[in-house]
Amino acid sequence: MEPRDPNLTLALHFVETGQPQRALTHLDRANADQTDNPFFWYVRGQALYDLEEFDSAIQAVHKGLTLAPEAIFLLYQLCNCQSRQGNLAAAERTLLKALQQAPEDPELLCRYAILVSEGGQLDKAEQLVEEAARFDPEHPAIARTQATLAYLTGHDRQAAEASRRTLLSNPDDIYGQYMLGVSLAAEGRVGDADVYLRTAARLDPLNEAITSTTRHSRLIAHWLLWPLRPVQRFGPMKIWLAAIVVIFGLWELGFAKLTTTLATVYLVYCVYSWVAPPLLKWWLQRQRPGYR
Amino acid sequence: MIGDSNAKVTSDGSPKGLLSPSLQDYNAHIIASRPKPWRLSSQMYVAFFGGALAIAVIAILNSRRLPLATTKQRMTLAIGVLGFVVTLLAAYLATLLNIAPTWRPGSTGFRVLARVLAVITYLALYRAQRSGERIYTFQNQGGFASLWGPGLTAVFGLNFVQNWIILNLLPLLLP
Repeated sequence: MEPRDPNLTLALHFVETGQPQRALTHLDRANADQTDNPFFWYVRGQALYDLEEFDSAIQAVHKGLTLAPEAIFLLYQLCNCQSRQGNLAAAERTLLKALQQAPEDPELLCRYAILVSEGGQLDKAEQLVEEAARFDPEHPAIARTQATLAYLTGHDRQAAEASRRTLLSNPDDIYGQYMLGVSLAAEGRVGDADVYLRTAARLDPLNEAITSTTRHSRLIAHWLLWPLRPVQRFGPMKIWLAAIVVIFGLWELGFAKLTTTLATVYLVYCVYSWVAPPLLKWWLQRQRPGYR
Repeated sequence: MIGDSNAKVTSDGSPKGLLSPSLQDYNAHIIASRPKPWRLSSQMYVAFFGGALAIAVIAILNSRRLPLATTKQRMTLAIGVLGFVVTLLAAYLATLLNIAPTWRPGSTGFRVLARVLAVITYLALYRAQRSGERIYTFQNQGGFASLWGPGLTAVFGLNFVQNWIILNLLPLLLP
């Protein structure tokens, strides 16, 4: 459905460029007959969704659905709003209504996969993505969803590979940049992760999840935390196990002084890893107002 | 409690089975009212200092705080119980077989062995709960709870209980 009123066209442009408040201003200026257009309510719902006003967004989408009860784009949007509110049961009912009309739509199947993964049903989520890939293996939503599921199941390398596939087809894919950053960070490649997370934050500055992850990434990539790179790379568990094995081993071999020195160094390192990040965050908050 | 999906693709390959609702038991209010989970990486210290029973109890409690499927919650319970049982079995066998005194319950050697078993239990519990923690952080549900209080309670309290069982109850079972 195409927008005809210039204000609706402008509102759509502002929604697409991440300016939801300006979009709402133009929607308020649109002709009164536009309220009979389901697309008007879609754009309004999207602007309110971007502003995280989910109750108002749901009301707007419902008005659109009274005009076009079967409209898949409105059902999809309603599902997004309900999911963000944590109401996964309602989101599932809404999405299944859309899937009844288009059971082979890869975008809808992938959205359902993400929804059930939020409910902890990762096996079903993987089956849904496989199903979507059977219908259209090249659909961009598939690589994006595979990246998310791989990350959620702890397969960080696979998540990074799937994110790279997403970026091959669309280098400006915000979610692809974000997922690649998150996966690389989980692999301990903090410096590389920071590059992708910064790009994602630049492309979508209003997204709180992206900006807060990017802030955290910037923090752990700070030069004062370079001594903690081994912990970030291998994880505290492996470093801790290695330290315990070496300390106990040296003790058993009779190197008492070396054991004491190593244990002291490790203890200081542990204290640094606990104290330095919150102190650095506090210092950055003081230096840069607005840093959270 | 988060329900498990029992979706299967139908024999003709259509996704109808997959498109059966499976989130209808998901109660957002109950989930939102649940206490925040503890970080999995922090639980390592509980395992090392507190032993298998301490890490099992902390992990089982944590699995109920995370968005984990029922099967994963049961798996966490099973791994925790198994880790504790293996520790008790090691103590029982060490006493029964009358091995060298440095490896008998109460000795330094046995304490090291018990810690190794606890850390192995922790690693298995970590894998069972990892997806739950990832989903939780991915949903940006608002941080983690501090493990200082419950962790120290488990380390001191449950380590005492474990040692008491090993040193006082297990000898009663010896032939």
